[in-house]
Order: sequence, then structure tokens, then C-alpha cells
Amino acid sequence: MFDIVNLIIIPLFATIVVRIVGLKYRNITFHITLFSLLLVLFIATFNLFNIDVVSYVMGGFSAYKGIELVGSKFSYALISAITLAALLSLINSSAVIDRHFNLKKVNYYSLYLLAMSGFIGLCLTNDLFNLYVFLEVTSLSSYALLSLGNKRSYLSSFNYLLIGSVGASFYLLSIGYLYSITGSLNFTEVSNIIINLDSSIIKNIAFAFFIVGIFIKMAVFPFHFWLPNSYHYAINPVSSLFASVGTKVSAFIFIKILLGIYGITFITQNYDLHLLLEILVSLAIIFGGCFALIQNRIKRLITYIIVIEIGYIVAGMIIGTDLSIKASMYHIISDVFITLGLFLFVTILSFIVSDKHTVNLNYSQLYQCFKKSKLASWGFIIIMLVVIGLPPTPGFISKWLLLTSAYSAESYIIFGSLIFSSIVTVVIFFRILESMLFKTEFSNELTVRKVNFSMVLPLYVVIFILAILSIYSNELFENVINPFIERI
Amino acid sequence: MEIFLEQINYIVFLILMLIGVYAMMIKNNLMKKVIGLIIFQTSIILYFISLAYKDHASIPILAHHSGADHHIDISHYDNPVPHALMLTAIVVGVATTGLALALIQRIYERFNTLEEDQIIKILKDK
Amino acid sequence: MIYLSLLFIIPIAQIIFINIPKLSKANIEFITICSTIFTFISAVLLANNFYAISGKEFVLLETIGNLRFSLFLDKAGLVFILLASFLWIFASLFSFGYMNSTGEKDLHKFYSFFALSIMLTFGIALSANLLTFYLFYESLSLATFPLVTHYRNDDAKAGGRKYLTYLFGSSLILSLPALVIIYLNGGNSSFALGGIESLELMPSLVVICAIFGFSKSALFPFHSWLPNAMVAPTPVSSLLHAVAVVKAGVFGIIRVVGFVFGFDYINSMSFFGISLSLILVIIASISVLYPSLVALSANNLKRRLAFSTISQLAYISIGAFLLSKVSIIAALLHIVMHALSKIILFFVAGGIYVTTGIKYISDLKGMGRKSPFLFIAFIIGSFGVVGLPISGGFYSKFLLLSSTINSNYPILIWVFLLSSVFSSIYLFQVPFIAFQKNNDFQVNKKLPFSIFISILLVCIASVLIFFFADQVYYFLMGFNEEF
Repeated sequence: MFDIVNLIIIPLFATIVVRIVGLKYRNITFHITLFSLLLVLFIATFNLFNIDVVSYVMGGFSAYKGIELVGSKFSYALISAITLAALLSLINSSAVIDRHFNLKKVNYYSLYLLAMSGFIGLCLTNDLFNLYVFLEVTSLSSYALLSLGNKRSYLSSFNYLLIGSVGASFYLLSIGYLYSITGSLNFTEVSNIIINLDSSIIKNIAFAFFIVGIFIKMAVFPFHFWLPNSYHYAINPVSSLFASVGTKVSAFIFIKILLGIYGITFITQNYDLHLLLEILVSLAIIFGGCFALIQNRIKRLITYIIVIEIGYIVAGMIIGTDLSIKASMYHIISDVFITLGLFLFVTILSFIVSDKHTVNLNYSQLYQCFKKSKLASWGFIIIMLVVIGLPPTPGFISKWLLLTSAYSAESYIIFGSLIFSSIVTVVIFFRILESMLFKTEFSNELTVRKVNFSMVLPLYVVIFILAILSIYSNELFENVINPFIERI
Repeated sequence: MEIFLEQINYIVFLILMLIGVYAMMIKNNLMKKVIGLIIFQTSIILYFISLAYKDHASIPILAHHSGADHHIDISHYDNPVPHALMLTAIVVGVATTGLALALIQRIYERFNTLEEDQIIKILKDK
Repeated sequence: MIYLSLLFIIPIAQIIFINIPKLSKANIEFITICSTIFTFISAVLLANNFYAISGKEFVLLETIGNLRFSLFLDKAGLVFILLASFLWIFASLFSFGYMNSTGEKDLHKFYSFFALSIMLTFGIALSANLLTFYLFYESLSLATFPLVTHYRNDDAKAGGRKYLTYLFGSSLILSLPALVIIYLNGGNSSFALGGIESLELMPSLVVICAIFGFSKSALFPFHSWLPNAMVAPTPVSSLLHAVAVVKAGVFGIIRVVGFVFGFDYINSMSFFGISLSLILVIIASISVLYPSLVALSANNLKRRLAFSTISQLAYISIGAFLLSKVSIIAALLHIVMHALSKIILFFVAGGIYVTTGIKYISDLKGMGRKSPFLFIAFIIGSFGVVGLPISGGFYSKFLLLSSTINSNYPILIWVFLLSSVFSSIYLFQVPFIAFQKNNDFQVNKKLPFSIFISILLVCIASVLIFFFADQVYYFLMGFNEEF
């Protein structure tokens, strides 16, 4: 029952079940989704606490011939995190879906489950081509789900489709090049062969294609242009899922392949490449910060905060010291919850403010929110405190580790951009505080609905989990992150 | 000249890929962008298949009487792994194309046009 | 150990109890005053057990990369805790009278944030390394923001904006990088007497960044947040901006100079050829004199007191920058004395506003004859700030003066004398105007009893400390043993 392959099969199976059951009984679909995700979460956390590295080969073939799934503690942790994120956004948005998209509920939930099975597969798989397949599974379901809503979302999802397919194709190309040198598609086998290979042109070309492809998926500057539009125009439930899960799993793939196949010295010892990537990542953080500052619409603001956070993760990899890699991995997990919390609040805010399902939120509506639901506003303030990096939140731990390793590795460009982004996030936090506390001539008094507790509860679960991440960060580092790095 | 002929698969794939990217970037009509995407994906499939090629080899399907007890000379058969992979990739491409076309249909319903500059103009006027 | 945690548990309990819905105002006041008294009692018990606890480190959270948040107790911290908890009692009493008179209803958020700020001040006093200090320091800026902007009008918004900009801006741009560099070079920046060994790159720049990053100490040129923060209600100005927040800033400077870098090391540093201690002393002297000049011309009473605070804080900074054992002890002593005296002045300002609604000094003509109590208290407080006998301020200023004589910069004596002259002018001018004859003066309201009793008790305390100041001095001198 606790095989890791079940982690993928259960949501996949549930997709079909939801489709079939939904032909007749539409209202059960939510419960089926809920139940299957709970089951996955249970299995993943059980594996996290009890079982060490496990390898499962599909179809019983031997490891290098078949498709292998490898579960390590970090992948279990990440799977638990993303399943929890999916569950919380499911609970948070059930009211919205019931109200506006009742007819499309079946499609929505089945695509939701499909996307989740894809994400989980991405974390578990050890075969490079299988990774491409799961990548496309998640991408396709995300193109479909992100287009739900209004006409602008069709357009932005179409743009995302074009860019995302190019990114996945680049990834496919890179594994093609790797296949042409190594003759294998299994991650461990390829890494064994390639690490012993000295600098060859094909290795570099494969790396170039891989970096571009995965940066497109991760939304690193300058490939991030799909992110603000598609997450802004999508409906809130969908953005909470994909914003918190999508880019982070791609980051995990990036770390896995970079550390495993190429080794971190590939970047750190190649001076030109290192400089180029440093500048790129600093620009990512700075541009994300600047665009976030000029935003008036809250949802768009949060998408730029996502760009900044992804910039932190990539910066950690590029700095390349032991500590910074661990900080990146820690930040992947904590950022799942930070982004989730921010979007959960946006869902609550839209629910309070208006009756329609897509609403333009700007700062002036925060005042209404503060008056109407103190609980939700406080939750938002606490999550923003994590974003700005107040000690001892997880945001501070990652930021501090990145700052110290950036300085000690003499990447002063990254150091400066980290300080700049801290200032930017603090300024944004002040603006939010001010809009919440002070009434301006733009904040109208009209409030529409009271929000029920089941919408605010997931926000507090997120805060609770962030607190746990911070308190138990030491255990997290020792038991989960360090073994992963040592294995690779 | 010989180098050119030797590596013609790379050159063809590169040209196709660039045509695809050109179509996606420069063309105004959304439909043409989708066609560019298809060309782009096809070029990558072509590249993979070309990796599998061996001189004087036939398709990687064992005839009925060449059972497991016979020694199989692999130099007579193309590498089957890229073929199998590309089957999957083709399916993925089909699904992506289908989704793109569905989106285009919806866009056409709402905007009544498929030209990108006109769509942007409509959005700006809103 | 228990007393240490009590210092944190009691304010948290107070916050929880106050926020139970539908409590009457009297209930809230009762809970508040009980918790302040209990906190003070636990601080006293902590002082009793001082020798058992001092030197031990209590780790709160520890992760990789030498990231450790921990608490410890030393004499400087103990003095700060006792001061803050003692004055919290009277500030609470004062705020009952003040906030009642302005007629506000929902004060539970006010008292909750007040308690949170004091708790964070305790955390600052107890921090064992720069990182923990930074944690509590930043949280304190955030926790005091709702208090500063309590009235929620446009003035409050502008003042709050400037407050956060100065405090967060300076700490993020200046002290965070300095903190990173110190950490990388020193291991974990624990506070230990004598400080760390050495820094590689531009150590003087790091010291300057660290010192100016703690701009709660209102050193020139990062001082303008303080006059603008006077939009806060007077209880907030009195406790936080005369005692807790600003003293946390200079406490940080003392920690950085004395406990992180060490005297000899800073003495040896030079910044582009000029000795670092000279630069710091010059800036601190400007911080002493320039606000005094502004205070001379300020007509708004609270604004005048704010500039006086900035000037006195610079005294404390000079004490730290003089880099000798006696001068640091003088600085610590002045923290205590100045806090006691300044809080009286703010209480009187609040009392004046409550009874007559007057904010400007020129309107005070004749008030002294109608309500003499307030202005006699003002005179007692002024004695403390100026440094005249029969007040604790005399001891601390005397010690500072004597340490400047023995230091490298005897010219500072002139700075001190000049500023004492200025401060006596701008402080004694107030009762002088008040006691002039003016028959038309009307006092509208009676002074609330809680304000009366709080002013009275703090005046008695500030006079008593004159007689017990030597006890404090000998206690603090003891910590020189570890140097």
C-alpha cells in the first residue's frame, strides 16, 4: 500500500473515477478529489518518516532498462508539501467553484487530479524521458485549467502554451543530446557516465538547452514573461495551485539534474558561465522587485513576488557553496507554502469584495478586508512577514543563508540584489499595512459578503506549517536535505 | 561538402526548428503560431529519429521467425529506443496541438478575430 | 530560568486576556496593571538570582550555518530589564488616565501592542548575539508601528511612514550587510566582553554600518523619525520613545562597540586615515548640539522634548564611543537616569494636554499658578535631564564628564557644558513661562488621579535614585571584572 508508485497511480485513477462518476453525480466529485489527495498525503508523510531511499522499477524490468522511480526523503517531503498545498487550495476554493463553475466541476476536478499526479511523478521519477512525459502532463493540464475564466485568460493561457511547449521541447532536446553520448535514459546511469566525461561540446550544448528549457518552466528572468499574465488572469483557485506547486517542482528538477548529472563545479568553475548566470539571477531578483513595486493590482503583485522567490532559489544554486544549495532546497519547500498563503488570501479577498469570479483587486480594497475579516488580514500580514524575512521565519533562514554564502563566495552582485529585494518587499509590506489601516479617498465602504471560517482556516494551516518549518529547520536540514545532497 | 552531407540531419533539424520559432514569433495570426509550434516539435522528433539511424540498417522490428534463440545482429536494426520515445513525443505533440486549437476556437468566439494585433487593440480599448 | 521565561509569559498572557471579547474598560485596566506589577516582580526576582543565571546561554532556535537565536543575562541587560519593567507600571497608570480622557473605547489593541513592545524590549536586553538582537529589534519596529499611528489620521500616516522608512531602511541597508560580514568573520557574533578578533575587509566601514544601522538610537543624520513619531499618543511617546525604543537603539550601540568589537580593536581602526573613534565622537557631538539648538526654538512641547531626547541619546553614544570601561558604565547609568527624568517630562506634557488641551509652550502662560503640581514635577524632571543635584542625572553626567577628561578628546567637556546650558534654557523656560502671572487662564478639567499618581511616584523614584545611584554604580562596575 505504501509503494511509491501508488503516489502516482492514486490521483491518476481518481481522475478517471471522477470523470465517470461525474456523468451522473456531480457533487461527489469534490469529495472524491479530497479523499484521493488525502490518501496521497498520508502515504507520502508515512514514507517521509519511516522509509529511506526506495527504488521501484515499473513493470519489473531491471533498473537501467526500465523506468525507475526513486523516492528519497526530500522527494517525499516535497510531495507532502505539494499535496498539502493542493488540498488546502481545494478546500479554500470549493465555495468559489460551486458558485461559478458548477457545470464545469467535473472537468475541473479531473484536470486538478491529473495535474497533481503529474507533479508527483515529476518528483519521483528517475528516468529522464519519463520526466519529460510528466512535465508535459502537468503543462497540458495547467494550460487547460489556467484558461478557465474569462477571455483574457484564454489569451494568456495560449501564450503560456506556446512558450511552455518550447521550454519542454528544449528539455527534450537536451536529453536527446545526452542520450546520444551516453546511450541511456536513466538518471543514475547518465550521471555516472557524464560526471567522468570531461568537458565535451555535446555536454555543454545539452546543458545550454536544458538550462533554457527549465528556466522557461521555472519562470526565471528573462523567460518569466508568461507568469504574471497567466496567473493573474486565471481564476483564484487555479492560480493558488499552480503558483505554489508548478514552478517549485521545476526548480527541484533543475537542482536534481544540475547536481546529479553536471555537478555544481560545472557552474562554479567555469568563470564566464558563472558570471553570466550570476548577472541573470540578479536581474531576475531586481526586475521582479521593480515590477512588484509599480504594481497596483494585488494578484499581479504576488506573481512578481513569486518571480523574486524563484530568483532566490536559483541564486542559491548558482552561488554554489554547500550552504547555499541547502538553503535553496529549504526555500523550495517553504516557498510552496508562502505562495500558497498569499494566493489563499487573494481568494478570500476576492470573495469578500465582489460577487463575480474575476475581480480586479487593488490596494484600496485591503481596507474593506481589514474591516470585514480581521482574521484573514492578520494571516496576510503574517505571511508577508515571512516574505520580508523577519527572523525567525523560514523566509529569514533562507535569506540569511543565501546572504552569508553569497558574501563568502564573493558573489557581490547577488548579495546586492538580495538586499535590494529585501528593501522592495519591505516597502510593499508597508504599503499593504497602510492600505489596511488607513482609509483613503479610494477605499469604498461597500462590503459584500462575510467570509466563512472554512475559507480562512487553510490560511492558518499554512502559517502553522511555516512555523513548523522554522522551528524544526534543523531536523529538516539534517534528515531530509543533507542526505539528498550526499546521495548525489 | 562531405561534412555537410554527413551531418545533414542536424542541419535540417536546425532549419526546421528555426522556421518553427520564426513562425511563432513573427507571424501575427494565432493559427500560424500554432503551426509554427507543430513544426518546431516535429523538428525535434526528426532529430531524435535521425539519432537512431545506422548505415544499411532496417527498421527495428523483429520478423516472426527470428526468435530469442537466434543471435540478433544489432547492426542490422535501427536503434529502437528513440523510435519508442518519439511515439510518446508525437502523442504529446498531438495533445498540445489539440489544446491549442481548442483555445484558438474559444479566442475566436470571444474576439472574432485571430490576428494578434487586432486582439491587443480590442483589449486596449476595453 | 523560570523568571526569564516569566518575563515573556506574563505579557503574552496579558495580551491573550485583554483580547477576550466584551471586556469592560475597567477589566482591561485591571489586567494590565496586574501584569505590569507581576512583570516587575519577576524582574526583581531575576535580579536576585542574577549570579545563578548570568553567563548561561539559553538557546531558542538553532539551525545550520551557525544560525542561533539565544538569550543570556548580563549586568547591562539586567539594568535595562529592571528599568523597562519598572517604568512600564507607571506608563500603564498614566495611559489609563490619558486614554480615558480622550474618550476612546476599544483600547484592547492599544494595550496588547504596548505589552508586545515591552516584551520585545526584554528580548533585546536578553539577546545573546547580534542575530537575536536583530530579530527583536526589527520586531520592535513593527510592533510599535500600530501604536505610533494610533489616531489613524493623515498626520499619523505620514509620521508612521517616516518612522518605518527610517528604521527599516537603515537596518536593511546598513546593519544587515554588516551583520552578515560580522557573522562570517566572527563565527556567531555572540556578545562577549572584549569582542571578536578581526575583520578582513574595511572593518571601520562595517562598524559604521552596524552603528548607524541601529537608527533607533537617533544619531545624526538618522534622527528625524523621532520628532515625527510624536504624532503618537503621549503614553506611547513617554514609554517607548523615551525609554524602550530609543534606549534599545543605544543599547545596541553599546553592544556593538563594547561586546562585539571590543575597545582596543575599535581604537585601532581608521577610516581613510582618520581614526574611527574620532569620526564617531564628532558625529555624536553634532547629535548632541544640533538638536539642542532646534529644541530652543521648538514651540510644540512634545517636539521640544523629542529633540531633547535625541540630544541626550547622543550623550550615551559618546559614552560608548569613548571606549573606556568607566565611560560605558556612565552610558548605562545615563540610560537609567535619563529614562526616569524624561518620562516625567512626557507625563507632564500629557497631563497638560489632558487638562487644558494645550500643545504649544507659548500658550502655557499662567498655568503654573493654577496647577502647580505639574510644573513642579517638570522642574524635578528637568533637574534630571540637565544633570543638577538631587536627581540621578547628576551622577551619570558627572561620570561622563570625568571620563571625557581622561579620554583622548578632552574638548568634549565643552560640548557637554554647552549642551547642558542649552538644555537648562529650553527646559526651564517651560515652568518659567507657566509661573508667570496670567489671570485669564482657565483650567478646564481636573487632572485624572491616575496621571497624578504616576507622576508623583516617578518623581519620588527619580529623587530616591540620587541616593541609591552609587549602589547601581558599584553593581555595574562589577562587570568590569570580566573585561
